[in-house]
Amino acid sequence: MCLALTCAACGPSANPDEATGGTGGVAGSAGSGGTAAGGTGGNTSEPLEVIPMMYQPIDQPAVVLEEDGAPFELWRAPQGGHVLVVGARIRGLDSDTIELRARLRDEETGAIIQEEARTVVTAEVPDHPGWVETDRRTESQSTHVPVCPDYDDQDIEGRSYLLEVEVRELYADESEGKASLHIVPTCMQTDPTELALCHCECKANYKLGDCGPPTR
Amino acid sequence: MMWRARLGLVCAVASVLAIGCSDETPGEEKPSNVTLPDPGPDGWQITTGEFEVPQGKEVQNCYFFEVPGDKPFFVKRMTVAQNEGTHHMNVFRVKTIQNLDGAPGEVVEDGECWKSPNWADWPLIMNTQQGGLTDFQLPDGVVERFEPGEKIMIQTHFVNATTQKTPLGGKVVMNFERAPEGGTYDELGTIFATNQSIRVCPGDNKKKYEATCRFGLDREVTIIGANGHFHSRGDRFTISPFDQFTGAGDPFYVSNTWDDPPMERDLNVKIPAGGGISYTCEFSAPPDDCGDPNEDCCYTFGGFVEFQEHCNAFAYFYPRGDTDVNCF
Repeated sequence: MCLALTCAACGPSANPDEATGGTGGVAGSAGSGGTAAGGTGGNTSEPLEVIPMMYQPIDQPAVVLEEDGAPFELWRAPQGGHVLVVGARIRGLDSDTIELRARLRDEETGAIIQEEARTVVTAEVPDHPGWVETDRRTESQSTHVPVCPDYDDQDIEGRSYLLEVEVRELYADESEGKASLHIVPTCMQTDPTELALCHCECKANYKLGDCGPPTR
Repeated sequence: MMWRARLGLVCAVASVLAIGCSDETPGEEKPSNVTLPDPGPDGWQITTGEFEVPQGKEVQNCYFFEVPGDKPFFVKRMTVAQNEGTHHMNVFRVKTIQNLDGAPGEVVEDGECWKSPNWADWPLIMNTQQGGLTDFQLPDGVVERFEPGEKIMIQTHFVNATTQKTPLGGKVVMNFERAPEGGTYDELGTIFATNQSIRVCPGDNKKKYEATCRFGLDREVTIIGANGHFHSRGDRFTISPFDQFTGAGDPFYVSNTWDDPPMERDLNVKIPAGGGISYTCEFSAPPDDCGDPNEDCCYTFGGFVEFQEHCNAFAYFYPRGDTDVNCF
């Protein structure tokens, strides 16, 4: 908790043009805080410092998540379904390439709802020496946790889940770091049809074809 | 894909299935349009017929059909024959209509047949990427159920370009063989999982994508078949069982071949209650490669083999439960 609070005080969210997600408790982080200075990378013997992010395009303010309870957008994927597009800010990297893993867990049972990992590249964060973030020029450099359609017997939307984010450095010394916090997956579509589809697909006990008109 | 290697197999099976083959002797074989025997009263057959695949082109067509009869049809075996040059064939049950539809017997050529949101909630019946014959015999006591009048769709993708060749033109034939009436059966369920928003760029080496597809059943299920699908930047595809508490296990499916991926049909993989699958795709692209010029020469999610990539997993399990499963 103290480490996370330290992060909140000195980390990327100090930038007034950035949004922090939600209110409530404080996110847990396995990061050590590091000693990065001047963007030169971290001490390879220490774990990486990680702060989860909700993806936003580069032309919009970053959304870093440091407190529990933040609503997290259920983003409609191109072919179908809704995913959590999860990025990260990281301190302590020597490489610009990481394996980023995001995992959503049921808060009560600890069961994994869904999980996704991918190789992504990072980019420097302006005005935050030593910090990098998953490249926001494209959503492809964030993980896409495929939570909807929801075949489970509990709704995805509107419930609090534990989001775990893990980072492993690639092409360098394979330093690792992780963070977790509680989020609330939320349909944020402004178009009524899109919003209705999100509500429907993210409701418990989904069956293929449920969200369209009846067919034979 | 890999027609010549498979032609012998296809012809060897021809004595049973009467698939069309050349009369020429081995070593002088020339591919001919595939055929399958009329299944008669024990089944039904659907086919695309023959169609042109011009040099330098990729063709993706969607053919619509209706399940015959007046009572549920329980299928124990599905047999598919495809001409050389096939990239994939999917058969779906038609559900929500967006911009892709047709009456039974109609075909949508290219156009909306390329746009994947059109079949976002259409349950998979079967996928194969093998030229020649794919014979999918379900285990004893397991059937795939069809309703009379149900609309289904064959989506066929042929390539006659750099990465694949289609010397004769396209053709797909599929037979459904009926299970004996009056039996007690477990119903087959299908999984179609696709990892979207992928991006493979020149110089990428073993770039990895990993995703889960859980299907929320409260009992153990058995996976009997699986295959993976990616394009020519794909190095390695794996599918593993996924436990909701312990995560992914060892792979039960591994493919290192993009253009002739194995379709495992004799699996007996137990998926614990509440579990699913985890699947991975690894990609590489040479530094001087160029996929989509509009994407900084990267290969992004999509069906076009020449400049896009896929990371799709297909699996078959029983007992099905209330729904087939699509994960995105």
